[in-house]
Amino acid sequence: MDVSILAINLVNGFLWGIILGFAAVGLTLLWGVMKVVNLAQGEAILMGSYVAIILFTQYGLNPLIGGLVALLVGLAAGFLIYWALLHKLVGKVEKITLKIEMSTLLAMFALSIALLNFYYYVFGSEPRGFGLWSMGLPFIRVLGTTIRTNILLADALALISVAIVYLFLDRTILGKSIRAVMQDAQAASLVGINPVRIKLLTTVLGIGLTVFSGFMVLLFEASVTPEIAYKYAPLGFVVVVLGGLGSVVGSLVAGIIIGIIYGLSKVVVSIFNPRISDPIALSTAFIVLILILLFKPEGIFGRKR
Amino acid sequence: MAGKGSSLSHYLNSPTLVVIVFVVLGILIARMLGMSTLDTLMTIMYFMGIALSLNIIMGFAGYVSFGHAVFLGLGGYAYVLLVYFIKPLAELQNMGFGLGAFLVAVLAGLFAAAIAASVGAAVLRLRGAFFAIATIGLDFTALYLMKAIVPELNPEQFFGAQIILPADKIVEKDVVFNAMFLTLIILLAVNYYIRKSPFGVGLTAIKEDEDAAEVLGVPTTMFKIIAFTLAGFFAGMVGALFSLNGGGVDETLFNLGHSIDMIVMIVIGGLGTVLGPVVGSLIYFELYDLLLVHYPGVNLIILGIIVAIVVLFFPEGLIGLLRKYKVGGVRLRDLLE
Repeated sequence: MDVSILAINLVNGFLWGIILGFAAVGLTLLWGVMKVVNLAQGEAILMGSYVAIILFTQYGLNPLIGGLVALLVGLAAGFLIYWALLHKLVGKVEKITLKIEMSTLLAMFALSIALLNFYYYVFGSEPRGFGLWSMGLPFIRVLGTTIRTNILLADALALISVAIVYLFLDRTILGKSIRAVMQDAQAASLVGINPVRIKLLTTVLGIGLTVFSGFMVLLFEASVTPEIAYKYAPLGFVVVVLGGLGSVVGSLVAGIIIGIIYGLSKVVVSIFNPRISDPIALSTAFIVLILILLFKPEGIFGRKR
Repeated sequence: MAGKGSSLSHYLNSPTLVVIVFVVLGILIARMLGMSTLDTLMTIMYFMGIALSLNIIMGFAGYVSFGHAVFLGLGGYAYVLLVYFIKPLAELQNMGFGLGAFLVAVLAGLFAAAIAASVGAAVLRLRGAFFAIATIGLDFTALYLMKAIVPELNPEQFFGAQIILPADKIVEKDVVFNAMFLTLIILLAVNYYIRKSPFGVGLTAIKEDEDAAEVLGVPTTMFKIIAFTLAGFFAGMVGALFSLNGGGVDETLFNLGHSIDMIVMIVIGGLGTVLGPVVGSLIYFELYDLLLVHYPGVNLIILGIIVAIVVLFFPEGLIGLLRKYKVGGVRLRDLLE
């Protein structure tokens, strides 16, 4: 076997994994703090992609500014989602039971049906993207392989964003109160943290980051269709479970692990049968999910519950 | 209600049974008088079938399985591969006015049930969202594995994961109708039996508080696995007959969209009842049709909004809502199962 094929696949898997990890940061916050599993994860990602695409194709706005607008739209969407859907279900609740968890699951699920079909209605199922836009050179050559600069841009943005979110949660009072609610909501309210405010903040932040990650996903994939939701949402769940609920760093690390496992299994399977390497490689991510759920349900960085 | 005697008049007093019999007879009469096209009736039975199969684990035991479409897909693939490669089975499915196809579908359902039992033994240890996510994972695993395996089985004939049955291996649509009809009746009976039996009471206890149920002596693990296996078995049968009706199978049968259909029907109708999925699937079918005709393109957007409203404001669904009221001094709670 050619060693360079292995290297290329590992590098690609790594670069993709960073995106996967960042895309799951919003999901892990929502899940960790509020026990809300955002089943509209894929649709939130697409929201960011489509906002940037519209601004670029209709108004000729620089995609980088479009990405920032996508972040703002995402924050606003988080605000709306909290007040329209989540507040009634989890806002005033101190302890979130399984039954409430199921209701939020179904509510987010309803949102995902509506949003996904909205995208199909407005954008159709053909791929859309930034066309040939890129910052500087479209490609660079590294170690005998070409990598699109957009992918490197996406990865850089994702890493910077993860660092900012981490510092926010680790250093600021607001971030610390989010982590406090994550650890023990009742104790947090005893020391004067307003749980409704924290839940609102978490939703705004969680949805906002997910929508923002749609911009990176678009840069990485070059073009998106509504189908992308079915790829990124389930993988997001894998990443969150592997990384541990609520752990931002865990999410990034788990994303990279999944990306590398994908690259590696693709290489291994293609030794035997190249035609089936992609589906098998994708299925390994879900096999990892089920194994993790069974043997280490708290994930790599999560706390034992 | 249970155990109050078993005279006929007692059963006639149960609106649930009356509605079930009415629905079954309605389908039969509509079929015999040709009031509705075969395809419409098949679709209604398919909707009702998938809703009732998921109901066993989601409605009674409270385990929401978002990847339940996996059993539709496994059943569909099992059926199509069985009749494709095993000649006696291809001949069997034409016999007995649908009984043969029914028996082959049972084999396909058993395959789905075997997967459900073995996977269920592991994933049913998880609760709430973790279980839901694990079933999504199962669905995608099966989907990608099928995409990988199926083209290898017969590289000249199978393109991607799609298998089209040749003309000599499909059966007349009214034969499929009979097989599906029989499946639906059994599925209704099983749902009703579970609702009335100690097994169903145990599942409800699991739904309300699993730890308490365990302490009180409900064999929770066994009950959950049985419920999940039954749900997988019937979803597999329905998927098998659905594929036979379509003359083949492809990977779209694993689509999460099918799980969406099932969950939405149960939620609209009412969780934890037998009537819920029956009524829910009829409403869903009408709604789906109506919205598709009047608002093509945005029909599913509206559907999503309706589901959100139901979840937020009527979390117990239509039947759950009705059960809160009294009519003529009779609590509907005692009547609607």
